[in-house]
Amino acid sequence: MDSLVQNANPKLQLTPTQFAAIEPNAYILSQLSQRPSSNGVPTRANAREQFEFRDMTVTVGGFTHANGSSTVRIGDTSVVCGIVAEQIYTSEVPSWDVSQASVSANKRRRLASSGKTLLDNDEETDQAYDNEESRHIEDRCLLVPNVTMNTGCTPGYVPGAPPSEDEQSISNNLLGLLRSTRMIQAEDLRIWYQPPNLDAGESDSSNETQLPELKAFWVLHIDIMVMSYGGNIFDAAWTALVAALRHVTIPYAWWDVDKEIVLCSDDASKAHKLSLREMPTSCWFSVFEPQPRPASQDEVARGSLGDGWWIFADPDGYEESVCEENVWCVVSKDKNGKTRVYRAQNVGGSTVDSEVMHNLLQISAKKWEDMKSIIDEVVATGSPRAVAWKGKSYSA
Amino acid sequence: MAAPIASISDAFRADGSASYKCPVTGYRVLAAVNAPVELPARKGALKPQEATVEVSIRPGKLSPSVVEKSAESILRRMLASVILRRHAGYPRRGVVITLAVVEGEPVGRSGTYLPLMPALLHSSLLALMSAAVPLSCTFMTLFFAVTRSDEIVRDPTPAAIKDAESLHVISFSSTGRTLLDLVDGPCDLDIWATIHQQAKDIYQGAAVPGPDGDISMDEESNNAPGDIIRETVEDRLRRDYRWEFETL
Amino acid sequence: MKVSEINVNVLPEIPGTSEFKYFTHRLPVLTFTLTSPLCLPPSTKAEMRFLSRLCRKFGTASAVPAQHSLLSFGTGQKMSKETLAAIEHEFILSGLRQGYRHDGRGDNDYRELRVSFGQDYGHVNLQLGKTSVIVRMSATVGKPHQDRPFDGTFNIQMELTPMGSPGWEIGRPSEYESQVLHVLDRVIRHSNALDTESLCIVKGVSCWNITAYVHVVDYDGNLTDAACMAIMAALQHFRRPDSESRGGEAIIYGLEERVPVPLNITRQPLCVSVIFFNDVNNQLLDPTYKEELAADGEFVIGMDDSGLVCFFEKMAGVASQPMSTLDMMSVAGERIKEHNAKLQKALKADLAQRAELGMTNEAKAANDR
Repeated sequence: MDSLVQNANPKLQLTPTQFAAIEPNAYILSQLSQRPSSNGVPTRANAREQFEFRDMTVTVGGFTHANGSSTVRIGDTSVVCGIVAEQIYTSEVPSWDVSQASVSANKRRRLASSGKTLLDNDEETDQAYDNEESRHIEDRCLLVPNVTMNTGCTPGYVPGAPPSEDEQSISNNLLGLLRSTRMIQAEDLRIWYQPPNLDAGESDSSNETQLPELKAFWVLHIDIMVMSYGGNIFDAAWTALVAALRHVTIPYAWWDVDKEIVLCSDDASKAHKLSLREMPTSCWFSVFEPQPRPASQDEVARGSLGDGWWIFADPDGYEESVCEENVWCVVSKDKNGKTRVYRAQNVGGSTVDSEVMHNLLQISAKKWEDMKSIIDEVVATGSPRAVAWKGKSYSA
Repeated sequence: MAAPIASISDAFRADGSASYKCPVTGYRVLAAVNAPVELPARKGALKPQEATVEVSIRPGKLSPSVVEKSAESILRRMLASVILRRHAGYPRRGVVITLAVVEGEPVGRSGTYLPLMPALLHSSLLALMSAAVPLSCTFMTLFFAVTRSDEIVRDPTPAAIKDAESLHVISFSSTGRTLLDLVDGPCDLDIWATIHQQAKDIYQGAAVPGPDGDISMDEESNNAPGDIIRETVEDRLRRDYRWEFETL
Repeated sequence: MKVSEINVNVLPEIPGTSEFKYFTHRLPVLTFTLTSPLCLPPSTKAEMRFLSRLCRKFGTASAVPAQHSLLSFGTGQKMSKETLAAIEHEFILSGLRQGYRHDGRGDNDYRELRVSFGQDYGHVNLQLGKTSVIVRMSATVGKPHQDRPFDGTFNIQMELTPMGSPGWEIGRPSEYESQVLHVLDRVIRHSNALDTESLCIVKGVSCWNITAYVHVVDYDGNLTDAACMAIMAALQHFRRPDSESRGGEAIIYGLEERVPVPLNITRQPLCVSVIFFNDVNNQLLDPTYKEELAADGEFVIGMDDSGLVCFFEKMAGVASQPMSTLDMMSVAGERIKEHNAKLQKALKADLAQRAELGMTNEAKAANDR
């Protein structure tokens, strides 16, 4: 009401919020050009520097009945992740009893060669084995990540609608990343049965026949719920997934021959954690171009581009709605401090070239160091305790 | 290296259509474009200032799944950045691109769509041109794989893709800018940089027109996927204008 | 040669028709007459395409008078729904009254049928006039239904995408789509053309799931007949990997290890769609999409290669004369025989080509050795 009274004068005046809603591009541009921070760096509409990430809080172990869970808050975005491990019997896997003649030949060869690898420690075979193992996870659908938007998390969300493209795309990207990072080892998800050696009296020949049998798998249902949508959902979802996976405990399970079922032990000391291989960090960037896209070939020829563009790290919901070009990096560093790229995606515009991309990858690598220490800390403190991280600015 | 096979086809109902086959990966993609069309069912999503781009991929012998959705979202954003969506006659309407993978092995759950990207993108581009959709530029797409021994392979075979550590797709616009940059799989930052340098070299060796607008016919230019786009369009134009040429 | 002038005249004697005249050095070289429903829903895609092509060819609006109202169609006013302009409807009907079909065919004639096969087994490209369909087959191993442990499964998947017609939308299955699928299901699946019992690998544990994926590349009417022929051709062309049961375990042999096996086809049913009209007595076979839209009723006859009727359905629409419907049966039987013969010929030719290729490859391999 007050604003109405204020606006009673003939000259139309807009409050900043109105301005921001009507002309988002002009609003963000004016903020960038008007509000340099203390050290003279342009500041975004949300008072952050270009490469400044938001504050983050990570909590682990909020759910009692999940095998692993976590909550991640990045600015206004909050995400909950719960992981439940369920067993699936090999007899229930549709194509379990099916073997490709060529593959089974491979299997035989591998069994034979695994003995050899012990002697040679041949890295090549090891990697091939890894590969086959990860395919095992894929073929049997042992990892099922799923992202759902919570009703009311964002004004645009329609309750009861089928999963949106965003949700499906994030779920698929999570699965794709789990595959390409080979984070989870298939061995952690297997439930073996060692048949008793009935004729123990005889020597080595019987060892050959009494191979352990694979009776069941653990299937990890990774459900991520977006409680509040404040931009940059993927980073939050991935961080939550990594934290929750680190927190997962899988009970000791064995095959009961008489009942022909898998039984689980409630002894916590027998339960095992997942041995995760890599833990890369995901970083989203949005590219802000104040100029509208050209409307004709003439405009293209005149070249409206180059009037300036800015990159926003960790964009919030408002910035995301304005920016069309996005950069997504998933990186980590190896033991020697070398940056490894797991995913990179730059799509939606033509401003970011390989040099800029290189810088963004390096920034992401720096963020990885911080993220690693946060998650290590969260997991080490045990559940449930929140670890907060103060948002900070990076430079390549 | 066998050259890709592309053609602008004569769809009866769609506004523009094209087919592109990548002989190395064996993928053949049919693309159809309808533009500009009214999308009465999408009234809420249409924007008053620009056209809405819709992309859908139909895998050849699988039902479309989440994997396609994710690839569609990349293609949609990439093509939207090339199409002049604010061109007269386009705002509030739709550019509907339909892609069908008619040859080649389908991508399974948790698979990657990167090997298909060149065929999907090039066929879309040809179809967009055949539908006379205004574009800000054309583009060409390069595909690389890095093997376990850190060797960079351009246009890898399906077997090489299966064994590769990481896959890379890079698109350059005809104006010399990077339109698309995708990496899947672990790879060192140095190798990433090398691939980008290599891609740039291939691109620059190929599509730099001389002062008279001609492309120099040196050996390197035969390698660039940008050429196949140009040749296909030229072929088509020659066919369309034949009546005019013949009456000369 | 440069076009110096283009004349556009609206012909008053035929409503909604305009004439394009192209001049070179003041001599008319080309004349197009274009029926364009100016004040009717702009369904006539072909005209608009034609116009937009003209615009492209002649440097857009500068060559063609821009103020002409026709051009507003070319620049984007398009509806995505399948409609037929009243004038075209009338054109088709008046032609039929005088004994002509709008493309010059006889009432019982089919358009040209072309069949080709891809490199994969079960990849069929089929064109019926301008209607173009691609079918791909897949075979996966799955669990049989609990109530039918001895049977494998066979399914037909088809989605009408905007590729076939701008009127089709993704995610919104139209009535037409379910109607076509229903006919295909009845004609091919329910007539047990593919013996599903032969797809069993291990009783109750594993079986083959065969799926035919139909892609409609271009749609100019009579999708039902075209898709039916394409699926039947694909079923006969397809080879699935060999499999056997060994101690309750199913073993699948790769394509390189054992010669893949053809499916067990018990019969070769095809279908023929017939359309008819309210006030014209003609019954037309193989309608184009415009004829389909103009029609008042339709029925579909399905028969196998031995001439046995395996399907008959009259969809909604006006009532038809029982005797003329019966007459169509014998006509349909002839057409189905012809089509089956064409498919067999194409399949044989492809098989022979493959055998030849295989021989040369073997010879090559032998030479290499």
